[in-house]
Amino acid sequence: MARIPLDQDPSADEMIIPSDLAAAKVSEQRILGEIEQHNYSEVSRFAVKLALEEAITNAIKHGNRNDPTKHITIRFRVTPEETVIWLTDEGNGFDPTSVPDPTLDENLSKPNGRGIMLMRAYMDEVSFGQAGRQVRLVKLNRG
Amino acid sequence: MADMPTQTPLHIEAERGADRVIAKVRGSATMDTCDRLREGLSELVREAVPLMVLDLSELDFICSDGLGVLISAYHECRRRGGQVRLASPTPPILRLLDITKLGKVLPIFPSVEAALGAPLSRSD
Repeated sequence: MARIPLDQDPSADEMIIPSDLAAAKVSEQRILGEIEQHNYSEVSRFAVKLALEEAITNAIKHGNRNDPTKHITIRFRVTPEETVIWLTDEGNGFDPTSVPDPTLDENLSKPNGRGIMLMRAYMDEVSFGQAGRQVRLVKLNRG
Repeated sequence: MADMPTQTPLHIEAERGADRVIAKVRGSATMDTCDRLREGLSELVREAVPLMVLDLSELDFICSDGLGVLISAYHECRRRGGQVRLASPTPPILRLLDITKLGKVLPIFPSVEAALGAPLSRSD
């Protein structure tokens, strides 16, 4: 059976939040609550929480540049099999391939630049769309 | 709607000695608590002790901003002639430190005692 794309899936939930950490936290907690209900492992819950923290922080700081008039759209679907999250900001986008590898020796002592690498390390799929304004995160539930 | 999972509040507890400070970091360092972590560690770094050990045994989560705070504390501590060491991270935090290779910058020890006992070196 063909999968319905998340942006056309009526069973997916959508939250549109302002660029502020308090609102972002509520959204994150809501998704994590659903994941808990579907008995994802502790390791998977940690992974989704980390990826969400990184994606939301990127959207607020780098995408929307802390502009309180801009929003973040979070669309998600949590099933017993997988969690899929699409997060879209209203910024100018970026080229994900241009982000330096934070694990290279010359970047190790820099205090930032690890968000995308961590999303990729902890999620099963990470992809970018809309010229970098949108990130899609997928975590499979392996029990 | 699903129940909201609880998040452990971030808390730093410092134990001071003549030439060292042990900072126990408890809870979750997340996007909304990293400022507290930054303020807490900055305050301790300003005391300019030769050695600051961060006891991570009760840190259950840290995001990349939180890792950045640890690195900034390391830089600031070095600038003042001191050193920062990480002690007893839990398995998920240790995995994060491994993935980011931060152990190359911030020395990681299995216990606070081991972190305190290792000789101070220029490379720390």
